[in-house]
Amino acid sequence: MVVLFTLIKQGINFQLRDKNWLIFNIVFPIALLLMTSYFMKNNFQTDGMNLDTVKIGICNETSDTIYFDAIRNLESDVDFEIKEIETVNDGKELIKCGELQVLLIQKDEEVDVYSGDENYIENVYVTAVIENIESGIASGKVAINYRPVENYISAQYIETSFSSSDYYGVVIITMMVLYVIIVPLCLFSYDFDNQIVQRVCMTGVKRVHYFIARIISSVIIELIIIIPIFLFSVFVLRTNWGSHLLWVIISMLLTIIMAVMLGTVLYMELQSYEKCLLIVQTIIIPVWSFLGGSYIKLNTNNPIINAVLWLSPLRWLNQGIFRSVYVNNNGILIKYSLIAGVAIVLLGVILVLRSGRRKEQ
Amino acid sequence: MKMIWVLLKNNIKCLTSKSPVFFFMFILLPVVISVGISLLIPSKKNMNGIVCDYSDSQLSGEIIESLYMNACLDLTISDSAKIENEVRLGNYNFGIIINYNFDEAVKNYDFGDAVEVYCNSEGFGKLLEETLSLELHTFAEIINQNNEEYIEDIDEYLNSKDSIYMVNMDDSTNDYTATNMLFSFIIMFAFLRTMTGASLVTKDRELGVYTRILMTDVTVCQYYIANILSSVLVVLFQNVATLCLTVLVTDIEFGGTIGEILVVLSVLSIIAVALGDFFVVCTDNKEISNILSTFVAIILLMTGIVPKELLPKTAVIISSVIPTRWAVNCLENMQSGEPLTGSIIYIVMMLLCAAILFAIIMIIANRKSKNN
Repeated sequence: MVVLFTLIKQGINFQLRDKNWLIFNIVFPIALLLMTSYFMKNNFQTDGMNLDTVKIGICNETSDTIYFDAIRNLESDVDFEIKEIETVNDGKELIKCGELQVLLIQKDEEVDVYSGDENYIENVYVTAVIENIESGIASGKVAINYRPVENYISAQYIETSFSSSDYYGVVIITMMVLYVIIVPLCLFSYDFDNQIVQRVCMTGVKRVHYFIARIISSVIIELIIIIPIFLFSVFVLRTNWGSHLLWVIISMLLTIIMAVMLGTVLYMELQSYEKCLLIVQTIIIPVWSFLGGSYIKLNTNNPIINAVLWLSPLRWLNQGIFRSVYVNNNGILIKYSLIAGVAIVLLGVILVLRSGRRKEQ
Repeated sequence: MKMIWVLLKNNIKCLTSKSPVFFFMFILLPVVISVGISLLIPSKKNMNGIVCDYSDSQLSGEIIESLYMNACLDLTISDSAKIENEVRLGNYNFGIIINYNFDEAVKNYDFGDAVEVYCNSEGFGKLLEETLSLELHTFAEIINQNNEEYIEDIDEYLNSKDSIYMVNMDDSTNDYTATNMLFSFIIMFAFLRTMTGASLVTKDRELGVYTRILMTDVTVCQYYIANILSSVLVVLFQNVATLCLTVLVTDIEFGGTIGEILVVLSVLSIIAVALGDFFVVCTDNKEISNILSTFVAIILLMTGIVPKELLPKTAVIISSVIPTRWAVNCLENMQSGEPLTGSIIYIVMMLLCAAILFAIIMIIANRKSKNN
């Protein structure tokens, strides 16, 4: 037990000997948190459709003016500043220099809606208006005695307090949890390259104990890195972690252990720091992070694509946390904790089998 | 020159881990994955909605068809009743539940009983209310005028609508959302790949190879030129592979020609390599330079992913001095119908940025070499 404790302490001291490494590992995720929360701020705002004025250019390539008459006479919360345009190219030029936001071209049985990238909200709004006008025109063609609409549907407005710092405060931290895979790689590459493992085992320490000690060291190192970032998200960014913190902490802890075990097994298999790092940094972290929604929010109802998304443990963890916080449902977190537990056991079995084989070799 | 060539060949061998399988796996696999997952990105230019159809009748099928035809809506069908939660979580802009008694309610003009609508934006919510009310009212009118064959009449009504298209400035109707995401991912993978090139320098230092190489006729400048060239070549190969694969496997439209896109990516690759080496030279530490490169890659990805129009004002100013934004600007200009020559200023700025970084690398490396 004393030996195990010494080994754990030595592993932590070894990795933390480089203070710059520790500082960079804490400071950069915090910088990333701040940057992403700020950069993506507008992506999480839902009131973008509340427009005051839209500058519309209309260009008629047919003799039919039905749409444009309808737009001119439309009663709307939004003011339309309408300008007649001679040609499409004239309209495009006006969009480029900001004098127009949306350009409508009426052709035979077709309406084209142009806009610059910066006016996509106006574009969606005007397109929706045109679609409604078109519905009115088409209904006049088929319904003989068309009466004005009386029973309007009332949509239920859902106010979401889901800000970019709520989203990125969670996903950047869970992504950092994944970076722990690199810690055992550093420890093992040093130990194996310098025959430290053999020397430790010659003192009577069992190989399994050595691995357990190194895994515990890696987990503690990750906690030393994650805790300040987590506290920063709670107290500075005011990220909403919900009221089921116990489940969130359990599932994050299991992810850290799983990531450390994965890094250990990977090193045992490849026995090369460079190869392992390439796999971890080029494949595992970017792909799992992307599928988990660490860079940008992903949604799909396509069952195949959805199944691919759920291959990432970060998807389980992030979605579990968000559902726990905003929908008060811990189902995904509990399921994920069970899956992570099983994965840890399986990786442990592989590790025991592989370390035994290495010993024989 | 011969020295650079020898070092270059050796570096490429090291960077490809001396195994073509390993090389292809780590170049092509991320590409395959990023191409695949870039198809996942929902359009940013439409309102994303989710519909759950409990009624599952012909009439409810018609209203879904009508919503599908709407140019500004991007619709997903779900059999889950948790639509309100999906909107609350921000996964969709709106959600519609078509109730069991949909047909009966529409016939009786009781639209509030026919559907439940959830929306996260009041402005768009009003438009959606109007769209659905107009459509259901027309359906009700048709049903009450012709009780027998109303489905055919509703089909006729839907087919009689003029087509409405959201057109890009280059006159195409392509959705460039996935393209821009893919482009950002190509950039990120290029940055990640350059890290391995840069790590060769630290590895050489750790093993004492660096000192031994410099004891021969090789100069510091030649050593770094060989390192930079080898990384650029590997990243270029990666980019060409990505673009070819994308064009062959998917129908993603980039907006410019493959040649033009390749020019932009190549110039950006040179910056990526310069940055990777810059971090290594400045930090002299493999692990710290790794952390730096990784976070810079993610930050650059972010600045590329987020459309300029969605960035806060200060962020637009910050991103305007970031090389990846210059590359994304080139792409966006091409998507709006301009040739690459119209973005020459960005290409020059990127090359200038790379040249400055290379100069700094050489100065620092020479100074450190003299000190040692």
